[in-house]
Amino acid sequence: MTQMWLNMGPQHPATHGLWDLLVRVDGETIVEAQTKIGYLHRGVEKIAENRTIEKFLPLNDRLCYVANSSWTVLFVNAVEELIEVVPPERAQYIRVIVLELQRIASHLVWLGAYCSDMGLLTMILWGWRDRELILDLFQFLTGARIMHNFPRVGGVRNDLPPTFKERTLKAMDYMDKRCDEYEDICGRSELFRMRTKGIGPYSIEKAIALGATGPMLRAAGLAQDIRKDDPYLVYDRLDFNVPVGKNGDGWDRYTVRLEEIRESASLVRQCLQKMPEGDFMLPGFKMPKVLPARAIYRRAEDPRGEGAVYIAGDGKTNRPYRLKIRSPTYIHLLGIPHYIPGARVSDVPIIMGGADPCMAEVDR
Amino acid sequence: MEGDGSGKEAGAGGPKERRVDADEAAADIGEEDVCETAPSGPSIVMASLDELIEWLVRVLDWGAGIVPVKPLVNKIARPVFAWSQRASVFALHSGLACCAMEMGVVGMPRLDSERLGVAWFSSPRRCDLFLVNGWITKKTRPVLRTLYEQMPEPKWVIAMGECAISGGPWHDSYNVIYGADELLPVDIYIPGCPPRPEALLDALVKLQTKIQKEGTTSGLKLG
Amino acid sequence: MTGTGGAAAAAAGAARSAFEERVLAELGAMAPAVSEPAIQKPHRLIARVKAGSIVDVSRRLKLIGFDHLSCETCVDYESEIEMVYLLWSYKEKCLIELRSRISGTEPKAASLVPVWTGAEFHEREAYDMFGVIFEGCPNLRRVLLPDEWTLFPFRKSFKIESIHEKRKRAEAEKAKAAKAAAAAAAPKPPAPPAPPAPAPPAQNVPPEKEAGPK
Repeated sequence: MTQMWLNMGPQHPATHGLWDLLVRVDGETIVEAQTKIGYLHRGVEKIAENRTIEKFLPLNDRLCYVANSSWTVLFVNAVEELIEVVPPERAQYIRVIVLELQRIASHLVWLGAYCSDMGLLTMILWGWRDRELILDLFQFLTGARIMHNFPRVGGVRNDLPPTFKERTLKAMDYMDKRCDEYEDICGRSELFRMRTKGIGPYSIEKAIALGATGPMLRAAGLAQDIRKDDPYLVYDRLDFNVPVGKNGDGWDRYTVRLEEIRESASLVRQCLQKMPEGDFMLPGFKMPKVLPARAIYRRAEDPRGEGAVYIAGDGKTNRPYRLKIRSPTYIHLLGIPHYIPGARVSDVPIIMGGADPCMAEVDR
Repeated sequence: MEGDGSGKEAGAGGPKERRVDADEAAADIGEEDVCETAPSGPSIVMASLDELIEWLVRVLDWGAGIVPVKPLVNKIARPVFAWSQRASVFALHSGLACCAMEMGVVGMPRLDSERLGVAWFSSPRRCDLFLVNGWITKKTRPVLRTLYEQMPEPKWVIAMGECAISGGPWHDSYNVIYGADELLPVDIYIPGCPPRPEALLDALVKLQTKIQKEGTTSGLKLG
Repeated sequence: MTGTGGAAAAAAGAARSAFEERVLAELGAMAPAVSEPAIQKPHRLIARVKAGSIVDVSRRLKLIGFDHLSCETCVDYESEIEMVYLLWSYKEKCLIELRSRISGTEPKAASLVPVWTGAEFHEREAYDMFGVIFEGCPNLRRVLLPDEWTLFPFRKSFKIESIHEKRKRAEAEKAKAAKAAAAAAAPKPPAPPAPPAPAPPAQNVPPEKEAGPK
């Protein structure tokens, strides 16, 4: 049978972003694939060399439009490590709350999009409707739904507003109940299982060779999590499990992320209970006029995997000399051609969706 | 052919039986002399279907120019077409960047754009509305232009967010275009970074008002 | 420009695990390809590697336990480019940063694809942004920028300016051009009158002191 190249993208309902997956198909089976990205490349790392730390801070939200605060918190953590400043404990707890709420919101977006690619349109309506509750909490805390611009070097922008604790605890109880409902509609659905089991599997060795991290690696079977292995902020004082899959296929990626929503809800509860009183910002802190001539590599558990920032100062200005952003989805998307051959064309949205693409982070 | 000079009697028969002053015809329709080019007799039967249709359209247009049928029909039909177009604006399922998240929220249960008739479709061939919701890079330019040109008329463009209006916070990027109106004709601009989804809902309502007021470009066309 | 800080860590008396000691010993054994191995902080090692030996060093480190290539990037120091490789060990939970300098005018480095397949993605980006040619990397072509670009934007020689600076520059050029046009178009002023004859020197001004021998 003749083989032909099919172009899936850049404008495609299943790609969730602007990228291109060219597949060479032999009938229905994929023989080869190529990824084409770069449609959203702005050169954020070059722009960072042109701006001071305070002026670059709001741009971090736009690094990944689904998990905004996880990049801002990561950047601020990196800068604090560079200038050797430790924020107060209350600020660290608040940052962890923001990170975990962001993880829930991001996984709800992913769940909705993943299921809608298969035709299970109920999930996108349910998932995004529940995400509105999380965004309401963000609006209450930071003033914005997405693009919060919340952490500052030395702390956070403001303390928790009154009644935030009660509202959040109520929302987390609601999320636990909803996770059970998602399990009912997706996990117990025979069609969902047929569409995701055995799709795009890879072994732990192949995943590590390709650089896969986060839920993609946990789905393959390796129980690793940067929050446990290389703890930052106050994660070493919190207690949570790391959900693990078996084969690394679409089904395992779903179960891992659904469990992570539950774990994040539990983490938020623990933070709210354990949070000490104190300052939300280092008193009297002023950003130094010059960044030290060192380089720092700071990693964090982004909802999509291992997000990291390599920031180097030059000892002369308060602008970074080099800012490198390690985006987990960039690695995952470029790794797709290595494990997609053998799948069918109708499985492509499942494989694309399993990598949880967020193109602003891929292209930077 | 007999004629009464430049008489314009209504319902006096077809063009074969009347002769209109050549200057009047030219002034009216913009053609030199309709009657002389209109085929008559057995040549109609032996003409091709295209020529027949062409002749029919010319004849109707000439007739509509004499009798004020065209403005009357347009006056009735245009609002009906406009109403049907504004009540079911199909937006293209193309999410570029962050503003696409807020665009997605507009279709979700809390804000529900479908009660306005706005639904999202993946193929540009069936869409009226192109929402530019993110920064445009040099690599994306031909993609967006192709998508826009694939959409059939009439079509509208909404530039959502600062990046689509003027490049947004990426003013010193080497790869970002300063605004969607460098390549597409934009009807509505929504400021914000990102604009609230309620702002997009407001823009859709404004677009519907615009469609209703301006009418639609494809009214009942004769010729 | 960026030091390894080994002395500081030793002075701080950071507790070293058995694994970190073993890695330091291995790195020391790999000299002279590897120099300045040090522990910056607990679970943070650093070493400097000679440009040609990065593949062997990373293969050895992968055997020891650094199985994950977290990042491979460049820092442009104009005359030189510093390649930075960051390896993480899932088992021992330890990070090592390897730095190696290559030429800035004709940057060439060995590719890590034989060791990690996923290194290809980092290398494609480094080529796209900095122009570093990785020998041995399959499919070394542009990934983020359009294929027809010939410039490498993250080099320091490629300057970007903000829209305000662009506007200011455009206005300054316009003003300069307008002034030049006005000066060319304006009628030439009449020739100035001849300067008066120089006055004779005053008689009572003391002569200049001459630098003579004391």
